Amino acid sequence: MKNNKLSIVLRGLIAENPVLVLVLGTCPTLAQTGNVIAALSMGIAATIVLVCSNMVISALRNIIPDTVRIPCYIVVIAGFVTVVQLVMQAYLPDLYEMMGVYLALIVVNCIILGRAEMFARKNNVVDSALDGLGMGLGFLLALLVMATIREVLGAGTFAGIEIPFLIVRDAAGVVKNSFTLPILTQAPGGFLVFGIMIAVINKIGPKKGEEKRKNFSCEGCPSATVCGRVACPENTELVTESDDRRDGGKEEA
Amino acid sequence: MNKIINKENLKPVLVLSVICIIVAALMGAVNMLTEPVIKDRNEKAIAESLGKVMPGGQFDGESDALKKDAPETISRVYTEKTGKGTVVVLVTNKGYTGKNIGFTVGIDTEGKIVGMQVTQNEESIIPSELKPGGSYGSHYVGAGAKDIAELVTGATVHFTEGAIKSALNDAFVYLGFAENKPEIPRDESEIFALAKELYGEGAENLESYTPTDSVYVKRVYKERGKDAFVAYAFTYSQYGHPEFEFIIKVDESRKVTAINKIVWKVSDPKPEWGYVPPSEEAVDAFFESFVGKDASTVSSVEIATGATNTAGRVREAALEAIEVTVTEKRGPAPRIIGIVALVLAAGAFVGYEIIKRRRTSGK
Repeated sequence: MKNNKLSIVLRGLIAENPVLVLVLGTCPTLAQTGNVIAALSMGIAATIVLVCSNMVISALRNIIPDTVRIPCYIVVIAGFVTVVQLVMQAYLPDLYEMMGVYLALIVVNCIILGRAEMFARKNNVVDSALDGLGMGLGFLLALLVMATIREVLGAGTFAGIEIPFLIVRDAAGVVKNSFTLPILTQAPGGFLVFGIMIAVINKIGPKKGEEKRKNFSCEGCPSATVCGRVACPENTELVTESDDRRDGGKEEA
Repeated sequence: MNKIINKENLKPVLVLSVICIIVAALMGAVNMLTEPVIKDRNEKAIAESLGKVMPGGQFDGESDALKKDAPETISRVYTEKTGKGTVVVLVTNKGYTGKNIGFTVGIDTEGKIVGMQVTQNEESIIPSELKPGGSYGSHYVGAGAKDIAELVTGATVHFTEGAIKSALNDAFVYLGFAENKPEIPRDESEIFALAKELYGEGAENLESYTPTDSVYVKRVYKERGKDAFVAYAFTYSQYGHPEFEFIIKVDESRKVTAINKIVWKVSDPKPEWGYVPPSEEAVDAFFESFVGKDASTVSSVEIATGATNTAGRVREAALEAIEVTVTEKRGPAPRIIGIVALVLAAGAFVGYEIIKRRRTSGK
């Protein structure tokens, strides 16, 4: 697959969605998807940090020695998280209070460190920024979808606005009927929705599981010299990873 | 040395240091921009809260000058202009995560709380009631200094509520509606008598010492020249009452040989919450199990659930007692010997000088 600029951005949205495909950043995903506003705030904050840290790490990739690269990445990421935190505390105090400890925990979000290590340190600044943007938007998209499901079905609201046919009130404004599943707004509901979403993505997304490969021979097999054809003496079929996955892996490596 | 400090080793250190400096500078710059905004908002919240915590009160925005001995939790004090009472602005960092919790409290001339409002809360986990502008303060309306300790709000975590109550107590003490708690809740002679009883043989030679850097160990009693000692440990609870008091005997090898529980007070049973404190027997067994323990094994002493925090503090106090150090008082004999030696040295010096001068003048 040719690596053009648009594909770098789009890859993070579905094909390599950090939450639903790479299963990174699970903690904030479960914790901040109880309502849409919190999910939106977390997604935007993480995207800003992701883009900025990817750009800086990419710009410094030839300067940072391998031996101290992880501490350097963490310092850079922590710096940007603190900046976002201070700005939010000053100008968006309500959101800052809503996000609580999870805002500071962006520092240890696997997506950010993961993209720094897998992409930013091997690519130029523009590509790294686009990768950060794509991954950030993918994270935001996953959070928003999950928060929408949880908030609408669990609380009968969307971004705090009550949905009339899910919560029925009488003339005095007292709740008469509520067609919601409150467990969805709680932790078990978070796991449940998360699991269902991963299952759906696995079903509709690109196949990357096991598949039988035809016309396989010992040529090029790294274990051929020690194997003695015990594993595949006669047949030419062997269960192995698909081409797609191997190509994807090479692309990232 | 040169092999260790070479280009390969130096480069990572320099790069990491430079990155740290640049990031710190960036954070400093952003902090300079945002700090006034955050401060202004906190000031605005305090100004708005004055009228809310002292309904109908009139304030000109100027705070009173703080007394010299004001507790560190008291940030500002505003006296209401028509004599209704005083509003105290409190900030404490003794909560669950050690971050600032700011609140204003209005106290009338009778020493009763007429209003309270949280204006700032930097704790990471905040119940909705305890957020700025939340309803937490309403639990305290009508309470006086004596009611605070036993007041149940059910709104927040143990440590945070303890910190708030402690700060409120500071406000009452500052305004003269409560007295400062004594360092030790009982008479010195009574503690000394209990220490002598536990020490046994040689108790008449015990001398009292006050450790300087201890949290729980308030007094140490020991014989001059001996390594064994008895220590008295005590602390107030978060709610202001004596939580535990005990006397512990430590031998010359720093092992606990005896312990005498004086006070142990945890919360009263609350069956409706499912809270049952440990029985008297369980508490006695807990204290007894310190016997034979040293610094490395004292942390293994356990108690049944129901008093986990208090038991933890007792263990800390026992460890502090085992490791406590005091500077032994000098007896009269060494002091006399010291003075005599000093006088003799001075005499010898003067004599030497006199002899030297005579010889010089003789020549």
